[in-house]
Amino acid sequence: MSTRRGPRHQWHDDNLGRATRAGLHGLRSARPSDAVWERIARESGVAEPRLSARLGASFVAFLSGRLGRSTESLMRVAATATVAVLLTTVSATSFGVILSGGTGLSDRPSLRPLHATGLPVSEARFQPTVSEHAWDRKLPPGTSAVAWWRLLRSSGDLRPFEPACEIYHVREGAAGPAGSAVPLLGAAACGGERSPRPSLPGMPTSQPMSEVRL
Amino acid sequence: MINHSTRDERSNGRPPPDDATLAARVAQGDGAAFEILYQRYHAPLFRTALAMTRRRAVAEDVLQEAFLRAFRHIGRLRLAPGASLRPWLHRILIRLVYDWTARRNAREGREDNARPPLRALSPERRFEQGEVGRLINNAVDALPFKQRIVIVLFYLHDMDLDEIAATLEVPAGTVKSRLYYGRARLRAQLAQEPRLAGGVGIRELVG
Repeated sequence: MSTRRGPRHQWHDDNLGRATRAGLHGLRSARPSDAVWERIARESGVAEPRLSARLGASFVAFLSGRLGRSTESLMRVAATATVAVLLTTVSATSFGVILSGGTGLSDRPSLRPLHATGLPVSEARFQPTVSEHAWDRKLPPGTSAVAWWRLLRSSGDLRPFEPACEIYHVREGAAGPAGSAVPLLGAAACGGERSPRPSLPGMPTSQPMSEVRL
Repeated sequence: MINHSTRDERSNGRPPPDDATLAARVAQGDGAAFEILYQRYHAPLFRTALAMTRRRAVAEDVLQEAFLRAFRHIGRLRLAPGASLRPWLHRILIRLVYDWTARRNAREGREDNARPPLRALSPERRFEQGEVGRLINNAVDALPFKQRIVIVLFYLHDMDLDEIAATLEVPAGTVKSRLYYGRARLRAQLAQEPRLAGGVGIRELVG
């Protein structure tokens, strides 16, 4: 499609020119794939119905090519996703263990509300809550359950509660104990024997709270 | 709205319409006229893109984008009767190739004229690839963009200096200067090559 009318420039046919044209010769027969026009036609809105049959086949070829080129990317994405799933699983498990204080065994403490631990209310014996006993011991409110437990052990005043295999921390409000108890010591600490559960406000019990106070 | 009135004109024996006519029809939404223009010019444009990028997928993408831009802007074009669309289409494509080259150089952190040196291949491999052709291609690839495009248009498309000047919208003297310095760099690059497998120096081929 050249519009050249005069003789070629001398640089065109000298040694370097001939070598350069020979080097570029392989490009003289290069042609784009049919998919290029089909993409142009589609994107410019000039696609004709007669192209639809070819579009199907070429679209598959286009997808194959794209997929082939993106295999490496897909592998990267898959590897990243696998690592992310593993990290999430490990983190969630660790987080669950930290929160629950145990590994989910039945005799281990749990953050679940006490009425959801599976222990039938009819079978439950009631143990004074930490705060209730703290009131009895005239300890200042806010004494930690661990401190209470140490004090209780050191004072030898453990008899009424033995085997005290589960120690719970109960959040306290202005009106007294509130919310769910947080287990601090599981039954496994005293041979796996199930200990009585503490009662909490709002928790269905077979005994009123006042009856279990010492 | 796209119409396809020229589809029948292609098969009725009449001479093909010139570029100005086709451009006017494309501007009115004639999809068949656009397809004729594509069939007329896609091959040389693709070869230019391939010579400049050396990557088939990139060359196809650039070709596609060039025609889409041409389709969008052809209504603004004032083409004299009988004039060719080729320089205008080539100009669009070359700008796209230039943009791609600049992005690639920025991504890879290298200057346009600081391309990797010619790769050393084993004699067997050089023989397989066509030794001279490979050396020439590598030397062309190592040229700065402005010299490379002139070399490609001059030696691949056999354009003369005036055609290249019209395509690039630069004076013919500038084209001649770029061609001169491009050839000098080519010769210098090739002179660094050891003697070819057949005992012939590349200097003797291009000197």
